[in-house]
Amino acid sequence: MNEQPRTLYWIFLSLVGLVISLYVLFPVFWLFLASFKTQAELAQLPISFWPEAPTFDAYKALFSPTHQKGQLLDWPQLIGNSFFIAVSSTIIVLVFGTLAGYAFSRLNFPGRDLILGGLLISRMFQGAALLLPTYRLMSMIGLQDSLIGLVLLYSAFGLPFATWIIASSLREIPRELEESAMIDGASRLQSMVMVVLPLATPALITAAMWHFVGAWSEFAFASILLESNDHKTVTIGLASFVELFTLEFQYVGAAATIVALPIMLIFLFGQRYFTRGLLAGAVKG
Amino acid sequence: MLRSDRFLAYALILPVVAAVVAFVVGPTYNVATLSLTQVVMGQERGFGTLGNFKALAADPVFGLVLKNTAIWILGGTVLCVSVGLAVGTFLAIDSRLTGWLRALILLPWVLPDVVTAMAWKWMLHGQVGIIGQTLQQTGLTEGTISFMGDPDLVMWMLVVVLIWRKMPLVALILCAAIRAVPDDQVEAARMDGANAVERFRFVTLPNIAFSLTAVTVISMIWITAEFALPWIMTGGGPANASQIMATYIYQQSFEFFNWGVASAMSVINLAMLVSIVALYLYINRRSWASEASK
Amino acid sequence: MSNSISRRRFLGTTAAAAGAAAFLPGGARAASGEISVWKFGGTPQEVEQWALRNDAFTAAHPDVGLNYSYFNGQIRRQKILAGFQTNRLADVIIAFGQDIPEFAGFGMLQPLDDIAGDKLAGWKDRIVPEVYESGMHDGKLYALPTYVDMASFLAINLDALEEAGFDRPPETWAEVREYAKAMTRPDRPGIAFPATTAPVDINIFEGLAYANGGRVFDEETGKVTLNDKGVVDALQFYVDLIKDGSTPAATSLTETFFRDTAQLFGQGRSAMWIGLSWLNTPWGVNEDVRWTGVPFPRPDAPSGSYEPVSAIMDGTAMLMVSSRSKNPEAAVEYLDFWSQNEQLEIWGGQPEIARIPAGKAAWDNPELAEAWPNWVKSYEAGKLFAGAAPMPRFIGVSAIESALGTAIQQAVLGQKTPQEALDEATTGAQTQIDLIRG
Repeated sequence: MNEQPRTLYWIFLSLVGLVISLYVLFPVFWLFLASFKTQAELAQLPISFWPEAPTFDAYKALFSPTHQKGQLLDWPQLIGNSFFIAVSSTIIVLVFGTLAGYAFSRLNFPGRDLILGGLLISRMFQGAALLLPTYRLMSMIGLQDSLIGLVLLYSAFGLPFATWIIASSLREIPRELEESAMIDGASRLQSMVMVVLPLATPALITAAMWHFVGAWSEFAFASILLESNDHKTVTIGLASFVELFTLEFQYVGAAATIVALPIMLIFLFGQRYFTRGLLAGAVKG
Repeated sequence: MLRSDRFLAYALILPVVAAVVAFVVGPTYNVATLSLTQVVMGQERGFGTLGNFKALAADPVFGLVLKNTAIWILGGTVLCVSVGLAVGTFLAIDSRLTGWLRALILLPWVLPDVVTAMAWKWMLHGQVGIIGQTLQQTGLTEGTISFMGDPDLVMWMLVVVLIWRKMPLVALILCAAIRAVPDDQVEAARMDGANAVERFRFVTLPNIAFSLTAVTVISMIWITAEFALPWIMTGGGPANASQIMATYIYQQSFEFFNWGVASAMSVINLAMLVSIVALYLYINRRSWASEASK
Repeated sequence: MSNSISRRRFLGTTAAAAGAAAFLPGGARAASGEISVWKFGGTPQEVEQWALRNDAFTAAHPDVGLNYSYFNGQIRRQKILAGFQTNRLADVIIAFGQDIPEFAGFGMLQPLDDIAGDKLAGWKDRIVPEVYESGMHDGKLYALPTYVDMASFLAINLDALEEAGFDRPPETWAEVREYAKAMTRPDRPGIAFPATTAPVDINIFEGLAYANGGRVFDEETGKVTLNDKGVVDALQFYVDLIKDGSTPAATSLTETFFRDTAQLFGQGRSAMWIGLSWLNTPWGVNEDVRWTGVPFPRPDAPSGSYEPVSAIMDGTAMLMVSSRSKNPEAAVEYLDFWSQNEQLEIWGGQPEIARIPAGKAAWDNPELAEAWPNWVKSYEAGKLFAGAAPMPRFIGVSAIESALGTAIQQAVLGQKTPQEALDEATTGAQTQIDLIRG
């Protein structure tokens, strides 16, 4: 290649990069900026881009005990609840997803592909129509308005996809490794834990991150199933900013930042594994 | 195959299958029976009627809902995968910029969709939105545009937001797939004189065919399950121009208290989806069957 | 009508279901002295005050364990429905007056006459009769109102009014058109009204339609009356305002709901706006914007087949006792607490002046007189509620209001004429209603 096309090529690439960044990142950035503005500035026209007098008031308010007391929102508790739900259901999904993933990838049994396909398709069954029957079911087994109930429900929602990712990735790991360990006297379980799992780490991380984000941001079922004030989750807190009478974007922005930040940090750390794990699932069935 | 292996296998998958049957299949069965039940004034009366389906067929809104749902699911999936492929191809290039973008691009996915819906609604608003104001200030449009109030635009604006939310993951998967294409194949094609487009068409695409099939199916499933986004952004309006299955089901069940019809719609929705996915997988059977059988 | 017969049967089924459900685990509200309360949405002040006064209730009733939950207003119906279906409804539900016929018809509520006993007299005594009336259904009291909202009102920017050479607010629809046109400037429309699918936006229109002698449903015949001339002409009025060029773009009206419309007015970005009685109070108005609020002007010649009303009203914090309540005594105690002047006073001035107070005592509040001199004057003259009717309420009200919302949007956007849009809405809503009511 000679010089001119190469420069053009880079200009073109940078432009594409700019457009993509703008589309993907601007809305997030806009919310982030809003979190440093005052209600008055947010209402003013023409719209100001940068905060005129950046303030942390919105962040302070979220953690102040008197803010939105009437809505009984306690942000540290909301975050704690969401964290508990997301972490517990992620652990459940990982443990049982790995067991099932192992079976689907390593063992032959009648109906294997059919069952795996069925599990995946079941993911389509969610939607507004299932809210009511699910509520009925949960209250029948006494798990409505319970964090444990949501943990179980989210686990059931997340297991099929996690199983699929893990199974796909395990399939990529040569059986010989495992077999040689078994010849050396390891049990099936030992060989799975000691030999196979370490190699499947990207897939496990992927499944974990995937599920964590889903559980962390679920709203519809949480909003209908949870009743007690000390059981609410961050998404319920976020939705409380869209009340009929109030829409205060500085709080939405601040809360969204607080909610997204920990996950984003995890992602910056795990991103490499994450894409590798996704790849294992989506490149090789 | 050892018999004990078979038992082991069933034992291992039992928790997953049980959970899905209990929490997903159970309620779905409930909906299916309800779709055949007459529901009057909040009470179930008489099983074994097709009245709910007949009512839907006679409902003039339902036709519009079908059309909008087609845009939502099919348009959404096609655009999600094609934009995702374009972005993924770009991200696959080695550079510092793309390295950062690969991590940051996940932000839209990390934010709960309650927030996403609010933020976009605000930005797109004709009078107080930053997008309209910017378009006007830069002279691209004469006045501001009421994106969510215009029945001709609203459905497509929803798709734009939907893609914003779902595309990053698709792009990342495809990016990873493209990066996994063996270098020697690309190099060989280059030696043969293939230009960039040809290399993409004849080397990259065949290599990522399975990934494409997979993300298409996954996107379709995600998009179907998406409800909060359209509901918060438009509530089906204006004049039902953005009424889709998910929002109409919600409206029928919780606003009109008409669960029979809502359930009938869910059943139709599910049946359509399963057939679309099955058809799609059948058409693309070569791209996944060969891989899966390895 | 067949409904009255069927309702008894529902109550029977409901009781059977309640009996069966009692064996299920989880229905652990049997402990005496405990009540649960669900409140849905409200203005920011109201929500804060409600929680504060609850503390006062707990202090005054140490023997009653109060289990208060606040929910986002948007999930009201699904939450109540789900709770009802699974026999887990709270003892006290704080919901809308428009909900009463459906909730009562489904057997979710118990009439307060049956359980409140001697407390009823006190309630009647302390609450403005017309507002008290808004808690009635089928001759029985089902809900205790704490305030009502009225539709429709008009907010007017006084500077714009004077600038256009007017010295008094408009008094008829024709005048509204004339004023709006005269007050329109290139950078500022003369009038704005919200036309999204939000229920409040639809209530605002219903205020106009009812004032014009229109109704949306005829309970006697079970017929949807959306295409009554009163409703059609009211919608024509909306369309005329747009055609006059006095409003923001039609597509802007269909994406801007009442709160945003109010905010734009508060920033001086429209000269008038059509709203409910609270107008701009919950949001505040820029200090440099001088404005006033008046009841919406009358139609020049009401054209509907029904009695024209002066306003329609409904409360959105009405206390109801669920039929599932295991502890109606404590529930009634809680209602009685909220019927006391100290509580009803919340809406009598500071802290909350956005609503029309239910308590007679609240009307003596000087702050209310300062904020809404016209209300107080007209209340004292006995005219505020004269000729006012409740907002539409019957089984299936949401289906009809939703069809109406669609018709409003179609007409506003110019897709159909008001007559066409409302004819179609009538047919569609009738089918829905027949299905729901059986």
